[in-house]
Amino acid sequence: MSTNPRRLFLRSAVAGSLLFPGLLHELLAEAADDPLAPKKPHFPAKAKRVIFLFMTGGVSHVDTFDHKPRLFKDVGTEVKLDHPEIKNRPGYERIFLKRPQWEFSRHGQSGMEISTLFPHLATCADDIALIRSLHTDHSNHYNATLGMHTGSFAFARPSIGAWVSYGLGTVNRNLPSFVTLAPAQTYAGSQVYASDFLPGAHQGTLIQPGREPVADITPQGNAAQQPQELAALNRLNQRHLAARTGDPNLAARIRSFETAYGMQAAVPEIFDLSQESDTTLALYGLERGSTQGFAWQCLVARRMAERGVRFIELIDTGSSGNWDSHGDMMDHARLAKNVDQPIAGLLKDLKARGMLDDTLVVWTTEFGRTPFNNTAEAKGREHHNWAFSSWLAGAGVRGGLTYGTTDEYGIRVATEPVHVHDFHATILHLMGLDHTKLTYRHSGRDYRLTDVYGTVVKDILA
Amino acid sequence: MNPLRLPKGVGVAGGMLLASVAHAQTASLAHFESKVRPLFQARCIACHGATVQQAGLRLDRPVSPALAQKVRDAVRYDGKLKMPPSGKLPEHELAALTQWVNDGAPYPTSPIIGGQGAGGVLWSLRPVRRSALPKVRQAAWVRNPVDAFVLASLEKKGQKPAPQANKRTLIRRVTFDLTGLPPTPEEVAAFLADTRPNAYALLIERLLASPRYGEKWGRLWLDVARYADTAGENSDHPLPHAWRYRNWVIEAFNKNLPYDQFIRQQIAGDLDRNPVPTGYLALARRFGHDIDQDIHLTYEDVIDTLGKSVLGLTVGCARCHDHKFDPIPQRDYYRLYGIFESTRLSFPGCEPKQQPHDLVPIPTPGKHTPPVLLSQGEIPDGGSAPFSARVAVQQGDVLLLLVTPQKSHGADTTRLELTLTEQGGTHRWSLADLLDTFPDARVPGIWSFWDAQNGLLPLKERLDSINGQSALRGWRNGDTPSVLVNRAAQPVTVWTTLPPRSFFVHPGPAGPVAVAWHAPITATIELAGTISDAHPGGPDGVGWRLEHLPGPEPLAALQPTLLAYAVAEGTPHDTRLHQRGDPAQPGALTPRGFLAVLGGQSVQDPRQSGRRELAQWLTDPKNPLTPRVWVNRLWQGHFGRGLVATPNDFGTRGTLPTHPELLDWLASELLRTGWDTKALHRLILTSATYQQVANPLLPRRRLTAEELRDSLLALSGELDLAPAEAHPFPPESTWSFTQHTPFAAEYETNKRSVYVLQKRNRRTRFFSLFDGADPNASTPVRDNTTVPTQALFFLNDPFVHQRAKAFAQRTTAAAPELSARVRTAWLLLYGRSPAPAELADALAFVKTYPQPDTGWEAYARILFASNEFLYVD
Repeated sequence: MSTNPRRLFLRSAVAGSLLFPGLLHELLAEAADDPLAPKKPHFPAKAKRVIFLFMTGGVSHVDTFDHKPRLFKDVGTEVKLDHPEIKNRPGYERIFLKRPQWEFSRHGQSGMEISTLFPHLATCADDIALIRSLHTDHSNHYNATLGMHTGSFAFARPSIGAWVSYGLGTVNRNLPSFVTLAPAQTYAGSQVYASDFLPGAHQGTLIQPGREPVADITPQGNAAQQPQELAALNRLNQRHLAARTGDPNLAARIRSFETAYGMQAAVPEIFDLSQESDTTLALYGLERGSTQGFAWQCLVARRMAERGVRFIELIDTGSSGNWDSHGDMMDHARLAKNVDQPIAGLLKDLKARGMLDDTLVVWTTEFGRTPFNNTAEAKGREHHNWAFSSWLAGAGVRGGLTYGTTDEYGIRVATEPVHVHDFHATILHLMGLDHTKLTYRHSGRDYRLTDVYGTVVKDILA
Repeated sequence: MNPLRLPKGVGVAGGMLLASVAHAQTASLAHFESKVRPLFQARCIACHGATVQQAGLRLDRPVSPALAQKVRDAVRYDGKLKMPPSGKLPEHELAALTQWVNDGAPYPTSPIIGGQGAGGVLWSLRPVRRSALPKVRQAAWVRNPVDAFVLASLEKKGQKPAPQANKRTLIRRVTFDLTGLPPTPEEVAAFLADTRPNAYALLIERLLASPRYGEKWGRLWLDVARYADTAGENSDHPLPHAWRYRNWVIEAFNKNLPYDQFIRQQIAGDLDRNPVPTGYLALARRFGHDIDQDIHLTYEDVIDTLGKSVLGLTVGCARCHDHKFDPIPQRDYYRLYGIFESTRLSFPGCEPKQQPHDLVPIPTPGKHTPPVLLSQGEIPDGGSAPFSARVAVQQGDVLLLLVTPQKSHGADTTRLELTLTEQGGTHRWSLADLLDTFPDARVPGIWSFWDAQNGLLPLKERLDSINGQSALRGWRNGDTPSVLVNRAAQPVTVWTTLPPRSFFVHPGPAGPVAVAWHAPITATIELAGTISDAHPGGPDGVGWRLEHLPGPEPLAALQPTLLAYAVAEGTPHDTRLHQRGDPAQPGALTPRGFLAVLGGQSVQDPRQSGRRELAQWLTDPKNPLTPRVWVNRLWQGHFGRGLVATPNDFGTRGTLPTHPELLDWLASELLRTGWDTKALHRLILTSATYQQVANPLLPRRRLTAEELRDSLLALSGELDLAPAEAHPFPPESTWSFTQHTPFAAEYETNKRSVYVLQKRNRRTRFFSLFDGADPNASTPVRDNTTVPTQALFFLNDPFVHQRAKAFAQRTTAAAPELSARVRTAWLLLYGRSPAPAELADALAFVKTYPQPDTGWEAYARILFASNEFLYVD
């Protein structure tokens, strides 16, 4: 044991008072101004963490989760709509219903209707609560993506992950409280995981699959010497602190090096999938050794969830090559294939480990796609913010429920509308946070994720 | 009743009310704001507001309690008068109104400075008062008036000042505070050796005179002014000219431009042939896909930034409704809005309109031969007129036909026919010849087309179809000015019916479009043409002017060589209030003007945007906010925390000043010295207060992101101190940024951090890691977070490792012997030599490092990572 350089460093650094970096959070929590110290929720809740699956580009609801038999039948029928994506658009003076490309069937005890795009996910139908009546304020990727992440459709505001981190803190200080796993930046760039005016500690850490998923986590050829370097640094800093007793900032920074050292081991350990069984890899559809694709992201997400990361967002693609199928809806097949088995694998894996009881899984996108186009033969669909589908699963969620409806063609929400603000309020509620009370004072105003709106969708609570 | 009822319990200095009374007042005001004011807005204002006043009643402003009772009776449908006539209000609204009447009908509105009821006026709106210096017991400690106020406050609390800091601490502190860089060992040695009584004052003079001062303090203003090098819309277009504003700010600090002029030039410099400073306005964030669609949000950014940065007021909160807490009615917001809507902001480009336009030429005292006017005239709406001229030209001369807008600035699509014939020769040129090859016609070098609104700018945006009509081709800058042709043999109907086989021009809103003919030979030219209004129905027609410009290349002198991302005058007009902030719901017309609480002046000259007057109002010495807000920022820059801890918010939701008399004394001193920023620095820095050892009023501070990066580069000997200019953006002609593939480049540089590219939508990791400013909104205070990812940066980031390597080489060359090298390193980083134990530690570390050749480099990294380097005592 005593030859373990990490132990050696920690002993010398803090005079034997501390042996496991995993305990650091308790020490850090003592610092009154530690923004990441674990906090009690507003009320008891089952969900301890969120895995937020964001399909970027706009997933067509009528081809995936919102079955519209009349849309199959009435293909080619002309409709008259004052729709933001066709207004004043040359060539779109007339629009016609367009048939979905995929068939639907019923799944599970609940008989939930899901299209053939998601055969694996369909086997989890009884675990998910499907919302078919979401709607959002903007039909532009950038604004709608920003809205789904921050509740603001134009201005930069803190992301939902930053809000959850701010509301609940985190339990593992060797890892960030809020992580965004994405192969590329998507619309609105770093704003989707920014803390904005919330303290910087709540900012999402971007993890991009590749050689070094987390910046600066790998020693630059001095790994073996690092304990000695950190011990020397610590001596220097302790001497400096001794002459300036009681400065909490100096002490906090000394501790931050201990945590950072712990992260160097803890973070790569998350990405080390060598101990995962073949069965598990097969569940996600991940090839051994692969560090790419949504299957890798989902398995890493489970490992982060196990290790106490509070808010884990997975974005499936980036700002191009995504679900934005203007040209040809058949591209949805490729995108669905990338995520279908991994998501089903994640849900099943979480369930098998008992983690679905205290993990909330959210699946969403920025908007739906038009059930119509300027010809019935057009291959693609346009942006549609009037109605789209999303689902929740896991802790506190009523599985098997289908909530809300759209009209006969999936154009407008017909019953039980759920605005993005309501969706956010519900996610916060499932985490034990009252969206009207989770506020932050900034430039003279108390800000909320839900601005002055939002109603919790009570019906989907278990 | 006093009409100036304000929430007295909230943020009012010197409030004499008992806490419980204050609480009750706050509660009743909160009730009014949350329940009653919205009810009036929704149910009553349409007939009893600013526009219509049925029965002479207005509910958009305070009413007497007696009148309030009548209103209550009417809405209860108790008596003869039943309101609203459309039907009785729901029970909960009646109850809300009744409670308000029972509360005494409180109705807060705008107080007037120095007006009645001073007790209710927000503290920050009271006139600046220069108090007599307070009496103190420990008078010997006081070096200047700053100390008197600070000491009086300490003595009141039974406290004493902290001891004076030593000279090493002072030079490190003041050098970082004024230049953002560490003092060199030579500078430290010189200061220690300087035993003159004014050695410290001389040090301050040296630092204030250093060009590094503007780079440090200019950054503070750039934080507040939300400076960025990209526009922030969906594709985050680069702003290739924004750097001129950034450098102007730095230069303004270095030149000690008086603060009132500093502000005035940023609001209206273009009106005095100095457009660059107005980048402050033009840099407003752009929103959405087609930024013209969300321009009201850009104006909000202008108003919000202006309010916060100059006045310390959150004026932006009044976009949708009267300010909930501060005395800023929604009308005031739109009084300012009209001023900016009457101003033309440079257009940065966006996804559907890639090319920038409306960049503002920077006037340069150039010389060019004046043009010879050959012919001019006007045509009325729907009119047509022939024109002709005979002129002898040299090869290289230009004949320029300018088509100018009349009073209705938008002007019209104008048809041009123009033929030039060589007298006695065979050459002949006609606009009609261009139709088939348009828009490539300008290539041959005979014809060219210009935006002549402000000097001459080429029409840059090529149109291969217009409104989906491929027979229409053209060139334009923005929507207009433009030139276009109908190539078809048939008329094409777009906004008007364009006759077949014709050439058209359209002037811009602020000036002419021009067609130039470049003489390819020396000859006498017969020129004949017709100008016709091709889009009748406007209030007027257009004018034209035909000029002869002697060559060679006469247009070159007219083309501005330098452009600014700035503003110019637009079309002056008042704007309609947007109900609930929605531009689709126009309300009452609001004359352009200033905030009621600061005097409520109106724009006098309807032919101007009003920015010149706004610049004066903002810097009127009677306006107490501007000087207070500025001296507070200066204090914050030296003490880490302002006397008002919310430097962008001096309203009721902001914090009260910890030392109100000192704040006012400093503000009065700023005015007395003619807004002399450096004089204020001197005053603050030479105080005993600033020269104490670190203490709660003067906390130890972490280096900012900029100071950290610049210091590491300085220590490694790699810092390039020459000011930077433009970023190496790709040429505008190649731009095709979309929300799918936005602008996202990073440019490496060894220049100071103030010159590093700042993007709005994809922030540079280093600056967000170390709490850099958010370029999306005015940043009043930098955060000071301590997170493990920062420690990882020091442990593993290649930037740190590379600087350490260079630092190691530099110090090894300077001091080959190890002990001397340790001393050199400590002097460079900390401004002091190591104590014997510290030296012994250093030697032991380097000598026992497992990889002997990198031990010194590893030691350098330890010094870089140390608290003594990162914190300033």
